[in-house]
Amino acid sequence: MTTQETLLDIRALRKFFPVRKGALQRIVAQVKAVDGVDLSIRAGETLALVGESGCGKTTTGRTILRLIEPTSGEILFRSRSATGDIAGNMTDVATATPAQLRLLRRDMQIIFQDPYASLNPRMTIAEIVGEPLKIQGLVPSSEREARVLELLRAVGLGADQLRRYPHEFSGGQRQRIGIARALALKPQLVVADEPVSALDVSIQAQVINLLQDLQEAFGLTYLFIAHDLSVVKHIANRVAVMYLGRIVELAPTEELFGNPKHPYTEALMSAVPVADPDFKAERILLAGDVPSPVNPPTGCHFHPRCRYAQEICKTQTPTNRATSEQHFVTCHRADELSLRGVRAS
Amino acid sequence: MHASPPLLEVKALKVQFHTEDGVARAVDGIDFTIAHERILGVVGESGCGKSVTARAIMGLIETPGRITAGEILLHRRGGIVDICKLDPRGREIRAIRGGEMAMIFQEPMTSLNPVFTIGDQIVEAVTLHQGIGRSEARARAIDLLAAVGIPMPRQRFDNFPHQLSGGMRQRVMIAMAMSCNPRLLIADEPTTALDVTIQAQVMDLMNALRRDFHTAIMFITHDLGVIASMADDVAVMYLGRIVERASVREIFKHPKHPYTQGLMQSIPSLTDGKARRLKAIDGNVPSAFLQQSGCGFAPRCPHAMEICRAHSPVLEAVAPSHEAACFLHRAAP
Repeated sequence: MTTQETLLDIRALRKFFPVRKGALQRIVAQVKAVDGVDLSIRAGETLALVGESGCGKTTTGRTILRLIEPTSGEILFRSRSATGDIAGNMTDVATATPAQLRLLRRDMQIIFQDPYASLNPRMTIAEIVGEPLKIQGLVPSSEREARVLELLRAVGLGADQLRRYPHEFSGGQRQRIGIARALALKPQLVVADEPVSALDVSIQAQVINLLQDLQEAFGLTYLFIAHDLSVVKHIANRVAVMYLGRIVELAPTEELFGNPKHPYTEALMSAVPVADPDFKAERILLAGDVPSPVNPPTGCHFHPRCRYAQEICKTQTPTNRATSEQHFVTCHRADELSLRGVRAS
Repeated sequence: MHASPPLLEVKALKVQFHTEDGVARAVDGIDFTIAHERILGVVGESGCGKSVTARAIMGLIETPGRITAGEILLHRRGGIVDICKLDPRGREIRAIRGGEMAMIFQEPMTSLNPVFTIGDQIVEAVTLHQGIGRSEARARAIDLLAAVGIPMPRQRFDNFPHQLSGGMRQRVMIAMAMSCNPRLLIADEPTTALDVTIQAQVMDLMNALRRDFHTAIMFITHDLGVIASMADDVAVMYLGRIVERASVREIFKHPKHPYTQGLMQSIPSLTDGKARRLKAIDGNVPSAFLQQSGCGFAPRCPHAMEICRAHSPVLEAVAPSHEAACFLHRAAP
């Protein structure tokens, strides 16, 4: 399923949002939403980006598509449509011209979290799903409707729904429409930003199954952004854990859940309530809240909440290093700590 | 169901909303009991009527909503009172609400008043119900903020809601709800808007409150994981009705209603091995406006029979302390 070819290679990506104050709107601080992220996604895999609200996972996803302008860093993408301009036939999305960007969008698309806010209420389903085809001019207008219908069938909707408007659909159906729109241009990479978290519990499984089926049918690569670790464990091949704008751990899914190396990953997994009354939860209660990304703690960002923190963690920023071929962690004490993973029942 | 005496009994409760689009039967005849110091978990998806039930108990149903049938009996020290019969704006319900029963909501930002400090809002609740002076109320408010784990409560007293994080605001809501030592706390999705690490803190806090203040809790959520770790008893709601009811262990180990079974099978679990596909429940959650005969779950049910489309099943015992509203189990011994 996974080939080793790198589809997307993100290097030292940063996105700072200025905080302005006063009559002159001077910049008084920076919100470091994404603070030096390195990540590569292989063709055909599902890489999950997890973390709590405010950790920068959504900003990372949107910056990759240039829906948000990066502050610095490279976003190298192996596009079929845009011609490569640097070594290895990769295109740097971060510096792409508007014309290049338009071509790049054929190959990278996004599914949004809120199916109620991401569909234009004044457009019919045929218009919504057909719009990318119209903008890109890939399909003659006479054939557009046939293609839209094909897409709707692929996501489990039918011809009788073409002329209807978003308000006539339930949340799960709307998310299917959003998925059909994202697939209209036959992209290689789909950024799925919390695609099931706004849906009812009994609908989530339908959409997760659909995303997996579509990946198999169209050879898609997913960047799956989520906060629900149970969903991530089910769908992802590899998982990257983010905290305050940085990736603190990255590993294949089984390895990350079974053998976490970062104390934050351990705490995050222990906090997930398990749907089994006999499960003896040993929750690690983190003290306090996530600190502000305007003024992150010195040294390791996680040290004020970390139960293993030592002097070095307060003063020196840990570097990201490999503990095995596929397992990367950003923690001074990763080698000496023995952390608790998820026990399979 | 268990030994402790009832604190609240809900009998044949119906709540309807009369709108231009028709009549929504938000709550369509439900019965349940909450005993002293127990935690009742109410599970269901959006539109199943769980929040409307909570509001009905608090006497907070507003037009176009109306309680059309049933009783909500609160067992007070001086006797039993039916909340449905009280004037919703009268003195008695106001004394009960915030005094004997309190409620916390999903979104703590919209349930705190943004123009008053959090301290003033707690002081208001305390002076209103306990008739103590302002300085005494202030001291009590600071104690409460400390009890719910707010660091530096004396300084935080003068903060406005926007100066606090989501988890802190939910703690303030809990402090306010606990200010008068209520015997029943209704928590409507209290952790849904929070991150898991903060959710773990709030769940821990609520368990401590039950232990220390002997408060009964009605805990409403769609998260089966939260239910499994918090509740003593569980009621599963679908389309305005309770479809299954049992102790937490019984319902997770032996779910009987196809909807409950479907819900439990459809969620991926951290402790599962890797499965290729999830077992999804087909179809969509129908609108409460639809008037359909028979069991509300029949259109999505893999076991639906002829009778399910014609008649509505009622809750019947399927095992000791375990009831389900499903024809599949009616013939069961």
